[in-house]
Amino acid sequence: MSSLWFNVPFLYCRFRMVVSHSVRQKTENGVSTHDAQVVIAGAFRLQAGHSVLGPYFFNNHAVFRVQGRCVDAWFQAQPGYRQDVKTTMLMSGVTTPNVVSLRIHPEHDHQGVFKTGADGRDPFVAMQVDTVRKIASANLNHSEEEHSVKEFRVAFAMGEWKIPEKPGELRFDATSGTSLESIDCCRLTCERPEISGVLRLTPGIPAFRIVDDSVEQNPLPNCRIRVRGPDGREQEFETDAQGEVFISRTGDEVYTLLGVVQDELPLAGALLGEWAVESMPDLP
Amino acid sequence: MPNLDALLKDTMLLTAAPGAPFQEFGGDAGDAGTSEAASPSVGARWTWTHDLSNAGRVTNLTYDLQDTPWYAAQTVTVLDELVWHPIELVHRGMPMTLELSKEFLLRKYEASRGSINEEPFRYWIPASIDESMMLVFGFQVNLRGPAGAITLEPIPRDVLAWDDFMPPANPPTPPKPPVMKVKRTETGTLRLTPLRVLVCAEFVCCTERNDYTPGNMARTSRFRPHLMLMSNRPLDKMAAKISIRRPAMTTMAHQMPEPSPGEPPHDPHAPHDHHGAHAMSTPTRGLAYDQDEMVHEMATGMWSDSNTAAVYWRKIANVTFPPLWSSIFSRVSTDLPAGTSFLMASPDLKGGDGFNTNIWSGHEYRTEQQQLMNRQGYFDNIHVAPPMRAPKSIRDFVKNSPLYKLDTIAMAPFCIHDCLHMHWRWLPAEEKWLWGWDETGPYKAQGEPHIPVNQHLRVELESTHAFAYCVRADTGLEAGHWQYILHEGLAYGNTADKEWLAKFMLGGMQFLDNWPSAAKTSWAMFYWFIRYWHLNGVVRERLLEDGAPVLPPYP
Repeated sequence: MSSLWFNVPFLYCRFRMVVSHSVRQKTENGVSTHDAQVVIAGAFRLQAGHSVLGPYFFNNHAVFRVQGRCVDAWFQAQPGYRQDVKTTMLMSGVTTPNVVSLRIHPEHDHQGVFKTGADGRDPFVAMQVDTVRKIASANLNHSEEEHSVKEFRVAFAMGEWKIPEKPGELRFDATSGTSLESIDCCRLTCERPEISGVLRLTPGIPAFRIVDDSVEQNPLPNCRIRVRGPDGREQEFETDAQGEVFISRTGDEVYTLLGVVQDELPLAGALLGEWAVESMPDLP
Repeated sequence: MPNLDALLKDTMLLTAAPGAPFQEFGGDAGDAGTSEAASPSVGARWTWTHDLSNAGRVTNLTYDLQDTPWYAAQTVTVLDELVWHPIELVHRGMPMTLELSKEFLLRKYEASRGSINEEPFRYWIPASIDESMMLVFGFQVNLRGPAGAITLEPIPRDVLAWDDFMPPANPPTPPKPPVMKVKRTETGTLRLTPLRVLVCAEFVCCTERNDYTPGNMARTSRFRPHLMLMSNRPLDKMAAKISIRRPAMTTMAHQMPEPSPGEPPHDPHAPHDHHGAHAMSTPTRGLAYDQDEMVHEMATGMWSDSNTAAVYWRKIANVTFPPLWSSIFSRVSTDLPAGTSFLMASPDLKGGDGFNTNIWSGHEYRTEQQQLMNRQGYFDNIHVAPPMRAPKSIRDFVKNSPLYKLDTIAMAPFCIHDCLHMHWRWLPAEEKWLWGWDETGPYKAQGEPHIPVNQHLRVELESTHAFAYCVRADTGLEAGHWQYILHEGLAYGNTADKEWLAKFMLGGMQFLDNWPSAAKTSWAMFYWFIRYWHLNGVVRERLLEDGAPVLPPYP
């Protein structure tokens, strides 16, 4: 069994999943609605952990940022009577650290399996669940509320994914693998989430990312930035298609982002927003 | 710092009906369904149609009139359509156009019940709402768009829930920008916030009230088709336009004139003469065929209030000293043609010595210079209504003298039938709800325009029955502040506040004693008299129409 992927020491992964749909169904005496809008995003490095079974990349402590909500509502009305139930699920935060892995099977046409979680454990984030029930009739007007905290699991597995034999950047989406399992917060009949991401073979992690301020953090390509290097010299870089700038860094040097060149539309009117630093310590 | 729900509490609809239901839309929220024409609620007097595929347009606005002494109960068409045109903005020199289309629609609220009760009112005066809606649009610059151009996209739904979705109205001192440093094992992510603009298009219809005129003289039903706009960055310029279009012909039904003696009876199924006139069902004491009539075609007139007329408004209902146009108004132009356009309010207009008015003294025209209020422009109000026509016996009485102009009589200062009113300024009245804007908001400055102090208002006539309300501003467009456009709203005139008083006034008009008896029960002749002076066949306007030549003294 041979594969050039055995020579790859690590991969840099950026992942995004968007759940977005709205369902309305009429029933005999009422209407039920289901609206979901959740964004799950993460960036991490996968370390090589190859075995005799094939090339294998993993990170045991990957986390995802999750933000969104699902609203399920239902009402039933008859002459002189109406019942309403509305459940709102809110998720916002960072998942528990868990495993993300990519396994490649060279002997099976270089098919890969990319997934979150292992051994029955899935990353999750706390989810606030609020339910309001109302009954209104000629004799009764009753309302009750229930509040609880549950787990929103970020379970995802993409299999039967044909990986090129020659290592290189891998982009993926919901069509990349013919076998797909994903989060199950919704109904069976719901639209599946939109999944996208990239796995890069890079000598390092990006120094800077320029994104918009949505939860999805959409990358801003072709964005020119000014950076001051450790020698005090200022340089201009341009973001790639993923909104990232890679700078070859070897020592303990520090690079400073001085600003975005805003001399041209559409960036000219943008406001510099939040700044965040993700640390990815060297893997052993 | 406000999120969308907090910001929308400032709207009129959600002030009156805080729990109003809404449908969600938005580019990333999929299609939450399409809406058909609004179906009227039980008991609603206003009805209208709104189609999401043409979101910036409301059509077929009707009002269900109750029975009055002047006409029978009926449903009339108030507007054929109202159009919110695209809003033009400039930010840091970059022009952009906001189309109020379904693509950018975030929410649609609807409510048919609710009220705004009492003082202190900040932005909304007391009202009870009828069939109403509010459209919430969200626009942002697409930072991933092609270089060198601006493309807009809907504001993503998740952004709307952020507490800093829009900056606070009075932001604290901004923090120092962070030092954006990374080491070898770090990735620094910088988020860029695009320019975002929130637009609320409200179409709030209100139930009848008596607080649209000084002295609570008339009962009108307001509707408030205003826009509210807020951005997360200061803007250089803003321009907005709202078209208000009445039908070309009145839809109000009056009884047909009774045939004159000797004429055959009217065939109710005969082809209708739209260029003729309808008889009005005044509480006549004379012959049924000899009544006030109403012209079919709409006409548009504009008036300016005299700034010294408060005393006349307070005594408007009397049989001895009727409200003559020369004492109530300072400028008038009736039957304006399409294409006419005037600057009606502007921060560039300073109060003080203003235009000259020609007032008939009983012998000659005297010139009086008007004292204007700050920001006061060319006219104060617009009225779109079918003119009246004097009863036949009166027209016959002076038929050899066309100077009398008894075939088209404009109604003012109040209207007895089918009139759409819009006042963007009132004279310095006692009632606070007739006061204009100052820097802190509406209903603050006596006698000043009802337009935010940074806005220039121009009104353009699109036709004799439609006009465009156009505002622009190039100052005061701060981030996190609402811009209100057409905050003053419009009103449809229903009837007199005290119908018995109006009947009493009509019945006791001694100044019409010298006319044929039909004049004593004629609103048309009331309106004619308060506009015109006449003696021995010489007729003069008491207040010379704007731009008209000054006629010679009485011989």
